[in-house]
Amino acid sequence: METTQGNELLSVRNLKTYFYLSQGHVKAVDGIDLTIPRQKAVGLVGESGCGKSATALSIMRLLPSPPSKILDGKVLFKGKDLIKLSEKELREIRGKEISMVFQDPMTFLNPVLKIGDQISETILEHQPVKKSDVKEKVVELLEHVGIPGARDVVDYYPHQLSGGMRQRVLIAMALSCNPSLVIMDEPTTALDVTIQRQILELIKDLIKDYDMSLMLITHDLGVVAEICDYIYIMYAGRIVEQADVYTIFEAAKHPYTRGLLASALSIEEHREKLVGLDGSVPDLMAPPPGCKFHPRCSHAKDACRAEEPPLMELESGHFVRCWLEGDA
Amino acid sequence: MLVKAKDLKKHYTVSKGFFSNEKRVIHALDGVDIEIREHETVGLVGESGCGKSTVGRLLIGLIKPTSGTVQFMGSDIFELEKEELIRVRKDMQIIFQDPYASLNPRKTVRQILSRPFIVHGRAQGDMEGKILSLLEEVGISPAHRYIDRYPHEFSGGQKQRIAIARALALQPRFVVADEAVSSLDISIRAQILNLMKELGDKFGTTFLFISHDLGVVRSFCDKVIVMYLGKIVESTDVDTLFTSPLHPYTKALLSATPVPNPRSTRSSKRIVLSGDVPSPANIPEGCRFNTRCPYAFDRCREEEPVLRRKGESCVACHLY
Repeated sequence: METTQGNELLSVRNLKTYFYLSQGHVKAVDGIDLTIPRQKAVGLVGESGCGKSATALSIMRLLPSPPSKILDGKVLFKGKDLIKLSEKELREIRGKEISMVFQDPMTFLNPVLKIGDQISETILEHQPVKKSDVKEKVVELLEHVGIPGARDVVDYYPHQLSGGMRQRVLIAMALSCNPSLVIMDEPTTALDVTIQRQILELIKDLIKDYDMSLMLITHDLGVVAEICDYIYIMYAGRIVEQADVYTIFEAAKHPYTRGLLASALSIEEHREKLVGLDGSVPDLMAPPPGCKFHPRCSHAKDACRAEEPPLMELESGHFVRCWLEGDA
Repeated sequence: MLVKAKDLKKHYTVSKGFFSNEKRVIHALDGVDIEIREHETVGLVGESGCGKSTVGRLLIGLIKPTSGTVQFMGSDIFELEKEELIRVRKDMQIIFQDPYASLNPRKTVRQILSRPFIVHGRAQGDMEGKILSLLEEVGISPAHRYIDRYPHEFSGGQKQRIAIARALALQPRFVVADEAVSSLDISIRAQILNLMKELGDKFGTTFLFISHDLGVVRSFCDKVIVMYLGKIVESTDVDTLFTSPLHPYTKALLSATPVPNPRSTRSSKRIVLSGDVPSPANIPEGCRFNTRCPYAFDRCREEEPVLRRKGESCVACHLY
């Protein structure tokens, strides 16, 4: 996706993160390239255990080491390589320039601190705001993410809020320093349908209002179809296909992407027989040789078992890692 | 009629605080009628706290209702003697959401799957053969390699297959699947749904499929019941519900659901409901949905609508 040079906000090059466990090493992220342009929403999609969250956490360098280790690669953010920064320099970026929203808000909010104090902590750390003014700023933020009675909510503890409201608080916290990139890891998966809708509308408005890019990690293809501009499909630690949202949904080439799409059920149509993917994600401690998807692929041929295909560009911006495509 | 529930209510009393003697009543279920025909797959949808799991548990007699009756194949299951109840229970089973919690981690697959046969006095004969064929049936193959393993040695999807094998071991007539595929990855979810459909067709099983995922319901169910705060707001056949929903809540649910198709999902007008579902301890006056309903008028705030037939559907709303 090197089309619009200079428009890149974040660019990940050949990122490798392995986990070293007593039983062996897990290649969770195995040579990933991805680019997030300014003011765009990029989706990272795949089944659980394929390395989506490990990729996001590696970008933020939030994985505990040991057992994890970033072996190789660059994470270029506004010209700086995050992998090379010191912990102190990183702290200037985390929460301020790049922030994260996670699936389960309750595990990320401190249960014994008031909502207001938790949000103001980030602001006081990163912005030249006086302690006396910070409450106003927090109230403003909470109102912006649609929390009714924001002035009272500042003094609430997390358990006094519903799941949807807690997720709004996390989003408010993530936005508190006007970050240029927000990484959201399954932000609506734990929520009910009507609450999910409220949060999705909020996310769409925020991308428009703030000068912000979004990296959305999810396995919900409905959410991706609605929010993202560009999509990366990840399988067993690798990107297997990438393209703009319309190409992925209408002209996907990789059998894995097609399998995912075929298993996504829609309220728009009744399907008599579901065609999905057989089998499950391989053990990343002992991944299969060749194309990592070949044991589940109905089109696998000898070449697939022997050698892993490279990521090939089919059309401008549409890449696929599959021997069935291209001239090979 | 295989299952017929009449005016089911389930109220829970909880104390207001640890030191308080004051009690409050949670209206988990507030008068629900359900009829399920043999060989039908009925979907039960709604948001958390609407009482859908309570319905599932009541229908197979896992919990007792505050009032109301459940008839299973003509007999009231809450009036049965214990031995009769056990006999009837052979024909009703439940599959839970989380197979990590529903399979005993200290028992092997062999022990887990032989329980239903032992409990219902059918343990004579070739037990191993029965279990092996059950495992093969749910796609755990080669079965002899897995029969002596423990639940932790299986993936989430495989565990759910074992839970399904256990539920279907005695070929029950009625199975409640309570969010049975919600914790699974989408590819695995399709496999499990296919499996349930296949086995359901083979054994003629009737399913009550409890789910918050409307996409799954559309493809899996014949009829759908929509619940909100302990009451049924709409019930109809699956195509009618998804093509011409009546109740404003059903409309909002459908409109809120993202569709895996970028062109239609980006162009559709959304109904965004404000606020959260009210607490079942503090149910609004009049129509339960009036606090979030975009069409609410005075009557909705005063009088609770009853479920009435309207064309192909039954709906509880003053608009109709």
